[in-house]
Amino acid sequence: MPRAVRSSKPERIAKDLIAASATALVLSILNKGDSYGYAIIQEVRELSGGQLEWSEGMLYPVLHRMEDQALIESFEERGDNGRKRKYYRLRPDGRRALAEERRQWDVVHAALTKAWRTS
Amino acid sequence: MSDEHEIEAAITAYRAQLQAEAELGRSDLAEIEDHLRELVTELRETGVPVAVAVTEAARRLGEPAALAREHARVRTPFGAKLSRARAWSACILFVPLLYTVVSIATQYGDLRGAAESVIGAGLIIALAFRLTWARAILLGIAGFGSVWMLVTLPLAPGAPLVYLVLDLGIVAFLMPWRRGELAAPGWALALVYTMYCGAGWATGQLAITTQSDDFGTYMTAALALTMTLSTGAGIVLRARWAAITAAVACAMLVTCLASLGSLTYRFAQPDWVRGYAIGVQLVGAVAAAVVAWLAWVSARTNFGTVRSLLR
Repeated sequence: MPRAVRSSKPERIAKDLIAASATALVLSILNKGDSYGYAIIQEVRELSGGQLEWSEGMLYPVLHRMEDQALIESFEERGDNGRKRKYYRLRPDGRRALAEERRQWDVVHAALTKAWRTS
Repeated sequence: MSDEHEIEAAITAYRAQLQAEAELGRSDLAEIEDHLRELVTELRETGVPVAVAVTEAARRLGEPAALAREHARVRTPFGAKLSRARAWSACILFVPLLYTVVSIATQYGDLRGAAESVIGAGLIIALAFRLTWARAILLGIAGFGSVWMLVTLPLAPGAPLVYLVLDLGIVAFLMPWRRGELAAPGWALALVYTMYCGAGWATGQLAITTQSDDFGTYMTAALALTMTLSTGAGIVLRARWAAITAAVACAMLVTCLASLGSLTYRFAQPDWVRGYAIGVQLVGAVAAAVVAWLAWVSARTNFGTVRSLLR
């Protein structure tokens, strides 16, 4: 068993797994509509029933890397609190990447399900 | 201290700590600050006392040092990190250009050509390691090269087009196509080569005039050249003194320009030679002024730090 999984508390998802699923989650959330950092974190928490706990600041390097890869793009808009806020939206490459992420996660999910059914 | 004051003080402190650790751009910092504010508001709405809310919000956002490390892998003070594919593609296109510089330098055995070969090779190696300051400087070199070729092509129709193709190819790979991909120090570095060409022409063409032995005239041009090289090094170190060396280079280039009319060539030169000299030195002086301003507003410390050298 990888060390990261063994050492984590049973109710939390391992760090490695969080990092691996970050791109897929962000792409999926932005696919539903433009959003910003804090709201994306909230959405992840809701989707996972509070099981996926990100170190919240770590989201930004992920967003910026995805921006560099032209998967998403940012734009500024005044938020409901009157301050300027950076929003992110999906780009065509991001839509394609999302389709690919879905395919890969489906493969992993299907393989694990099958393995656990026969064991 | 009132609640609002306490929150503001805590947010300012967190922001300052993050800035000291990570050298983030203004919009990146604002983004994280916005997140911190949202967290504090959320926690307070659940009835948590201010002091606890502030500590808990900072804990959930993460240690500034850890955030800084994560950010550094994506962003540098000079701009976004280039992908390996783009950096290496540009490196490959640079090899024939470097070969030309080296072969000319060995053919004539001049010191400046040798220095240019060494610096050029160093920059290409740095680009291969995806160092963002090297990307900015080399973007400036290929960009200036492209414009130069396009301007001179009508005058010298026999010029080998392959250089133009190589330069344009490099520009395509190194260009910050996305807004905000290069930060202010990155743009300053991209302009350093334009300064260098202005100063290079000022010294180079002195050699073919009767004033080449005139100490004052020579020193003005030589000073412009050394100040330009110092500026490049200073901006890589994020030092404020780079703004001063750029300003001196600008002043020297303007002085060279002013004395250009009184230069007499040893041998008859085509009309366009003086025109070119005016153009290149003028553009170089303007670039130097812009670089001085950019270096001043974006410097990290007065004397600089080697921390950004490996970015």
